[in-house]
Amino acid sequence: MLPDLRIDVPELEPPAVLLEQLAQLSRQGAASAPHDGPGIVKAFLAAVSVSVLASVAWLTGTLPGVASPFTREPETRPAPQHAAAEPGTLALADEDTEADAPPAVADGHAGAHHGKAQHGGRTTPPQDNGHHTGQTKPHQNNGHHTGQTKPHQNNGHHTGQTKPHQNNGHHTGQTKPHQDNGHHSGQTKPHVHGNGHRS
Amino acid sequence: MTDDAVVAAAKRGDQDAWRSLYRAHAGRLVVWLETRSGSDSAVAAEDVAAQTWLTAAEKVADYTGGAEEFGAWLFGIARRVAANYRRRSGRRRTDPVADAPGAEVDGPDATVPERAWIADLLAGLSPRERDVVACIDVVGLSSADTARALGMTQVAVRVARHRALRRLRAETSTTLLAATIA
Repeated sequence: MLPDLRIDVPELEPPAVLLEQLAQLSRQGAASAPHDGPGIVKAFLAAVSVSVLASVAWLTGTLPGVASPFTREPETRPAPQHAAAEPGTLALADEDTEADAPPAVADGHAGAHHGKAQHGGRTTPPQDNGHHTGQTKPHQNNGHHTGQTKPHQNNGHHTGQTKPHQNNGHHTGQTKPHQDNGHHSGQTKPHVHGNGHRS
Repeated sequence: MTDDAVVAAAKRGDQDAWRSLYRAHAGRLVVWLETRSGSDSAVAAEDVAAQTWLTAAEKVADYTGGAEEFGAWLFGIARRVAANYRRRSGRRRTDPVADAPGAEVDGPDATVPERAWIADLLAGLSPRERDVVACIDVVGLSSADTARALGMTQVAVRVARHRALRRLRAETSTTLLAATIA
C-alpha cells in the first residue's frame, strides 16, 4: 500500500523586488525579440537568394555539368582523310611514293587482280583502283596506302597494318604479314593464293 | 484576465501578470526542486527557483503557449538551471558538512517534515523515476506537462512512473513489515 505522495503546495507571494525584476526583464526581452515578418516574406527571400546563387554559379561555370556561357567550347576538328597525323609529312610521303611506284602494281599484278586485288582490311570493299588503305572510309587514293597513324617511309608498298613491315610490293590488309607472292587480299586471315584470284 | 491574456501581459512586463503566474507555479516549483534528484545541498531550492523565474522573464518573449503550458515550460527551465548549478558545484568540489548545532528551527511551514519524508522515500529511485514521481504525484503536474518539462515522451513518463510506484510499494510494505515486527 503506497501512501499519498501529494503535498499541499503553499501559495507563495512574490517579493516586490523579484516582481519588479521580472517585469523589467520581460520588457527588455520583448524589446530585443526579433519581429519576424510573415512566412511568405521569408520564403520569397530564400527563393531570391537561391536564384542569385544559382545564376552566379552558372555564369562563372562552377556548377558541375553546366558550362558557362563565357567559356568557349573546344572546336571539334574533322577527322583527317588519311590516318597520318601530320598532313605535311603525308604529302611528302606521297611525293616519295609517286617516285617509287610499287613494282607490284607496275609489273602487271594489278591486272591479275582485275584492279581490285589490294584490300586494306575493310569490311566493305570500296571502289578500289588498286590502291589500298586501312581506313574505314574510301578515299581518293593515288597509290599511296597506309593504315598507320603516323607517316612512315613509304616505298610504294601498302599495308593496313599498324606497324610498318618489310614490304616487298605485296599489299595486305591483314594484321599479320604473310607470305605474299604478289597477290593481295582483304582477308583478315593469311592465305596462300597464287592463282591471281582474290579470296 | 484570461490565461492567455496573463501570458501576453507578462510578455509586456505587467507586474500583475507576473504576480499571478508566480502564485500559480512558484510553490510547486520549489517543492519539486526539493524532492527531485541531484539537488546540491550547497544550493537551496529557493535559489534555483529564483534563477528560474529570472530566466523565464528573459525568455518569455520567445514563449508560445498559454498559461496552462507555462508550468511545464517553467519546470523545463528549472531543470536546466538545476543542471547548471550541479555542474558548478561539481567544479567547486565542495564537501557537505553537518548542519551547525542550533541551525534547525521549527519553521512556520508545517509541510517541511512531510517534504523531508517524501524526499527520503524517493531517494531509492533512479533520478528519472524520481523526477517523474515528483512532478506527477507530488506537485500534481499532468503527464503531458511532465513530459514537456523533463524532455521525455509521454510513454516514457508513464513507464517510468509505473516502475517507480511499483518499487515504492515494495519498499513501503517492507518498511511497514519491519516496523510491525519491531
